[in-house]
Amino acid sequence: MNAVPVDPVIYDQLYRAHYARVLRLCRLLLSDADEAADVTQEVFLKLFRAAREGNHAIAWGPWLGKVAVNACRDRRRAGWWKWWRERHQEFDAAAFPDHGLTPEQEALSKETRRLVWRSFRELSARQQEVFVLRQIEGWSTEEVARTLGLSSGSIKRHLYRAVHHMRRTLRGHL
Amino acid sequence: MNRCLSERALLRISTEGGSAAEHSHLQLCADCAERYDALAEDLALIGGALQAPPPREISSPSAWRVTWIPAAASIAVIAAMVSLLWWREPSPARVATPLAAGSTFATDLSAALFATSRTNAPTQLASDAPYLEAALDEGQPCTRDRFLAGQCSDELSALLIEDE
Repeated sequence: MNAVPVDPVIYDQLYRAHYARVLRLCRLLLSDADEAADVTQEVFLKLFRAAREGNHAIAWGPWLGKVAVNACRDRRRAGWWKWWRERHQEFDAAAFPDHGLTPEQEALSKETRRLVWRSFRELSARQQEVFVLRQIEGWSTEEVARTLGLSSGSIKRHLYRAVHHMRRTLRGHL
Repeated sequence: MNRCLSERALLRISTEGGSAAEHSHLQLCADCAERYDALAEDLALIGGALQAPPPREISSPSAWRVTWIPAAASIAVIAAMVSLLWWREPSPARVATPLAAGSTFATDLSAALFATSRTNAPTQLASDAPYLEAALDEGQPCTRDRFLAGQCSDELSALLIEDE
């Protein structure tokens, strides 16, 4: 397929529209600020290449989400030490300054946020992906199933286990 | 629908919409309605917390978590090396065995070459002398009976050796 020039305006619009969302998605799935930023750059590089190949009919929002999930999964699989670090290293909160919070977010106590983050990170990688895409990103069950290559029933089971675990953690401490 | 809704069913209502029967049960059952509200509240709380940056960790247990595995691995490697060295180096017991054998051999050799025991030596020498002399002469030792019979003249041997 011949490369076509990418319209910089369109690319810039896509970047502005989706960068924060993709970064947040990667940050949730990787629990590492540097890794998340790195993978987000990779995702937008793939967006640039896809756009250059003339794939203008793609719905870029879901496409970016799918590419981001796969890139995060590849990054997690890159080495056992990264998996180990993901599991054991505390989140580098300093990389995400507390600004731009909504009133509801401000209202959340730090203890509650800490509990939620900790319980979220105790989930399996698959449960994290399902929860983020279904609950945070607001995808439909079918979209999540297509993206992750699972059945709808499996998505529902993963979501239920994730929600059950996090609620149990919250209820046990609040 | 008279039975109360399970947590799974409540989540399904929250995420997928749920069936008409489940919705009607929610309107009639105060307990399920309360549980459903609690679920919705928790989901909102979790979603809000995850969309916001995580709080700064006041106490970070990561330090010991990060270090305990390499520390344990280092200790295991050192222990393995020490045990390997100990195994390859001759143990005191293994060293003692050849030394003891050498010492015994040296004692035997010394005793053989430089015998200083005076208790048995003259007797042994005296008792063996007639036989040795007889052997050298290719004859019979001079016993008392043979001396008295005049067959030999070695008085000393005749005194020492009695016929059996």
